[in-house]
Amino acid sequence: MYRQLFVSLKDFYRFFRSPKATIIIIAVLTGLFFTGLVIPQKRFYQSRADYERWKTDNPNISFILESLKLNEIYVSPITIAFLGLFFANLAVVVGHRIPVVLRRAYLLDRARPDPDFSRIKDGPDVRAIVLRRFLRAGHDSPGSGEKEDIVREITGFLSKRLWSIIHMGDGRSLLAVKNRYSPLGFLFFHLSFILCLVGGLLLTYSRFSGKLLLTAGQDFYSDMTEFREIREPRIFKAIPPIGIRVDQVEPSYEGGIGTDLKVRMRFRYKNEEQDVLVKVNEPVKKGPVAVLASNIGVSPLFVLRASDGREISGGYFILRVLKGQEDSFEMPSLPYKFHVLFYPEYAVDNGKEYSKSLELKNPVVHLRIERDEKTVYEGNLGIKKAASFDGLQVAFEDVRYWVDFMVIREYGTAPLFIGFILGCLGLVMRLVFYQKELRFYLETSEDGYKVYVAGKSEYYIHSFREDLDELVRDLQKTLTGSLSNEYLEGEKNDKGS
Amino acid sequence: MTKGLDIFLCWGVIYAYTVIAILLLTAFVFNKERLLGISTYMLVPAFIVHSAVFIMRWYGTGYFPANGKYENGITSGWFAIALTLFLFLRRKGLRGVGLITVPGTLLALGYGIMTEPGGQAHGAALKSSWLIIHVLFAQLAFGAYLVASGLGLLYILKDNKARKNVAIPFYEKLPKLPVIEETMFKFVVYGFIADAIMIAAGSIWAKDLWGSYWSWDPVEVWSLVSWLIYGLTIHFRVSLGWRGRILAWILILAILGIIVTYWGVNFFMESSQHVVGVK
Ligand code: HEM
Repeated sequence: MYRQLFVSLKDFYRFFRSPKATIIIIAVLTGLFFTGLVIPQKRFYQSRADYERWKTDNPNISFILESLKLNEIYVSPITIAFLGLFFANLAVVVGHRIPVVLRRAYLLDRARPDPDFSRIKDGPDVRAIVLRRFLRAGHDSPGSGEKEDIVREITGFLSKRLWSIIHMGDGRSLLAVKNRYSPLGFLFFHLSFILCLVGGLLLTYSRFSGKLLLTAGQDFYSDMTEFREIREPRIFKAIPPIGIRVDQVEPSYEGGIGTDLKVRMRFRYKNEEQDVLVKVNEPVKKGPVAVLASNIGVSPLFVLRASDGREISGGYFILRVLKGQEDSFEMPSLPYKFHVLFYPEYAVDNGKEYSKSLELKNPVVHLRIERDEKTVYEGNLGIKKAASFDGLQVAFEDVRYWVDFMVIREYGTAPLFIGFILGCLGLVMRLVFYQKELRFYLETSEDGYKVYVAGKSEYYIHSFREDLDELVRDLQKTLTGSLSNEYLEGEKNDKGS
Repeated sequence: MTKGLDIFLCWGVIYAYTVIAILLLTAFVFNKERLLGISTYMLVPAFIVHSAVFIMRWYGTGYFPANGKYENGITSGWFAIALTLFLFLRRKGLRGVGLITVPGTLLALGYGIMTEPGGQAHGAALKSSWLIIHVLFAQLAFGAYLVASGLGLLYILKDNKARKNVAIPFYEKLPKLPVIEETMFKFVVYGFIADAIMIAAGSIWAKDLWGSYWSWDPVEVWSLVSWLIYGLTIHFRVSLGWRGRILAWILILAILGIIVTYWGVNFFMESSQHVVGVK
C-alpha cells in the first residue's frame, strides 16, 4: 500500500514538475486576478453601508462570494493557495533546471569527450566553403601549416564578431557560441519572482501607514493620536520617529486642474532636522519613511467674540470646501453649527456667485449658522469681515491651506528593486540575446580543403538560416581574401528544416 | 496656434489612415498586389504627418504626450505605425500587418480626438520622470503586440489558402509561414519585455504618487493579467512547442486584453487626478 502511495506521489511530483503544471497554475492565477475585475469586490463599495445594501439585495450570490472570500479575491485563500503552488512549482522546476541551464551556458561538463564534428556535414543547416591550394605568404610549400592557418583565420573572424570559442577539437573542428551566457537569463528572470515575493511580503508585513492633516503653520511630533486611517504593521511596530512643521503650501491650478503642489516644511527624522520641499510625485524620503502630500484643502480662521469684543472661541477649522462642497464645524460647548461654502476667488456674474479659480485670490465664505436646526444667520463674509448674530460676532480672520499627508514606513524595497532589475536583465539576456551555435569541421581532400559550417539558433530557426548564409559568405570572403587560394562555389544543405 | 494645427493635421492623418486601411483590406480580400504597393507609399507621408503631430503636441505642452485619450491615441498609434513601417522596410511580404495596425491606430486617434480634442491641463500627478518611462514602454508594448496580432492575422489568411491548396500569387509573395510565425513571436517578445518594464516603472511611480507599489487597482490588475497572458503564450511556444495557427489565434485574441487595459479602464486620468484635490 505504501508502495502504491509512493508511486502515486512520484507520479504527482512528475506532473507537478512538468511544463503543463506550470501553465495550468499560471493560467488559474491569471483567471483569479481577472475574477477580481468582474466579481464585485468589497473595496469597490464607497462605504460599508453600500456593501451591506448590495448583500441584502443579492443574498445568494453574496453568500457564495463571502464563503469563498471571492469578494476579496487578492487575499482570498484560493488565491493564496495558488500563489503558494506557483512559488512551489517555480522552486522545483527552476531547481531542476539549474544543471541544464549551466550546461547550456557551457559551464558544466567541460571534461566531455570531443564530439565527432565530422558528422555535421550530414545534418541540417550545413553550409560548405570549398578552398583549393592554400598558401599563406611566408610558407614555402603548399600544405605546411595550412590547416592551422585556416582554423586561426576562422577563430579570428568569429572573435571579431563576438562569438565565444568554446571548444577547439583536434585542430580541424571548432565550436563557437554567440551569447553564451544567455541561458542564465532564465534563472535571473524566474528567480526575480522570488525576490519580488520576499520584497512584497516584507513591505506588506512591515508597512505602517497613517494620514495626517496639518494646516500651514502647524507642528507635529510623532503623536500616534493625530494619525487617521492607521494601518499597523505586523513586524517593526514602532511609529516612525518623525516631526513635521508645515511652513508654506503653494498649489497651482489651470482650468480647474491642479498642475502643481509645493509644500515647504521643516522635517525631522530621528534627531536630524532639515527644510524640505514636498511635491506631488516627489515625497520626502528618509530611510524607510516616506511622507507624501496627497491632498489639500483650506482651513479658515473664525473668531467668535461677545458683544464687548471679548474673544470666546475660535481657531483654524479644517474643512473640505475647496472644490465647492459644503462642510460644517462646531465650536466647543457652544450650541451653534456653522455651515460653510467657500469661494477661493469670488466673483458674481449675472447675479450668480462663483469662483473664478481655485487660487486664494479673493476668498469669501458663505456662512450659515444654525442653532437647534434653525438658521440664525446666513450671508457672505470676505476676509477680515465679521457678522453678528444672537448678540455675538463671528469674524473670518484668515485662511490657510491644510495638507493631507500620508506617512509610510516600510522595509523591503531593496529585494523588490533587485527583483525588478534582475527580472528585466534576465528577460533581455534570454529573449533578445538568445543563443546561437556554430560548428566547424575542416575536411582535407586531394584538391584542397572544405570547411563545413553547421548552425543552430534558439527560437528563430528560419531567420537564423538567412544569418547563417550571410555569415558563411563573409567568412568565405575573409578566407579567400587573406589566404592565397582558389575558391570554389560552396554547398548548401538545408535538409531537415 | 499649434494646438489647433495639431488637431487639424491629426484629422488629416485619420483620413489618410482610413484610405490606407480600405486599400489594405481591398488588397487582401481581392488579392490586388498593386493596391498593397499604393498603400505602402501612402503610409510613409501619413506617418511623417503623424510624427509632426506627435512632436507638436510634445512641444506645445512641454510634456511627453500621454495625458488623456487624444494624446494616448497619438503616441500609441505612432509606435504601432513606426513598427509597421519598420517591418515594411525589412520585409515587403509582411505589409499585411498593417491590416491590424492601421485600423487600430485609426480607431485610437479617432476616439481620442472625438472625446478630448483640446487635451487637458497637465495634472501634477503626471509630472514624473517615471511616468515618461512608464508611458513610453506602455506604448511600445502596445505597438509591438498590435503588430504581433497583425502578423497572426496574416498567418491565418495565408495558412487558409495553403490548406485549401489554392496557389494565389498574391499570397505566394508573402514570406513563408514559418517566417511569419517567427516574426510574430519576435514582436511578442518585444512587447513582453517592454510590458514588464512598463509595469515595474508604473509601480515605482505609484509608490511616489499613492504611497504603495501595488494596490490591485483595476488598471494594475488588467495590465498584470494581459502581461501574464503573453507570458503564457511564450510558455506555450518555448515549453510546449506550440506553433502556427493556434499561436496566431491566441495573439489575435490577446490584443483585446491590451485594448481593455489601455482604453477600457481609464488609463491615467480617473485614478490620478484627485491628487491635488481638484477632482
Ligand atoms: C511557476 C512558475 C514558472 C515556471 C516553473 C516557469 C518555467 C519555465 C520554463 C521551464 C521555461 C523554459 C526554459 C527553457 O526551455 O529555456 C520558461 C520560459 C519562460 N518563462 Fe517561465 N515559468 C514560470 C513562470 C513564468 C511567468 C509568471 C512568466 C511571465 C509572465 C514567465 C515567462 C517566461 C518566459 C518569458 C520564458 C522564455 C524565456 C526563458 O527561457 O527564460 N514564466 N519558464
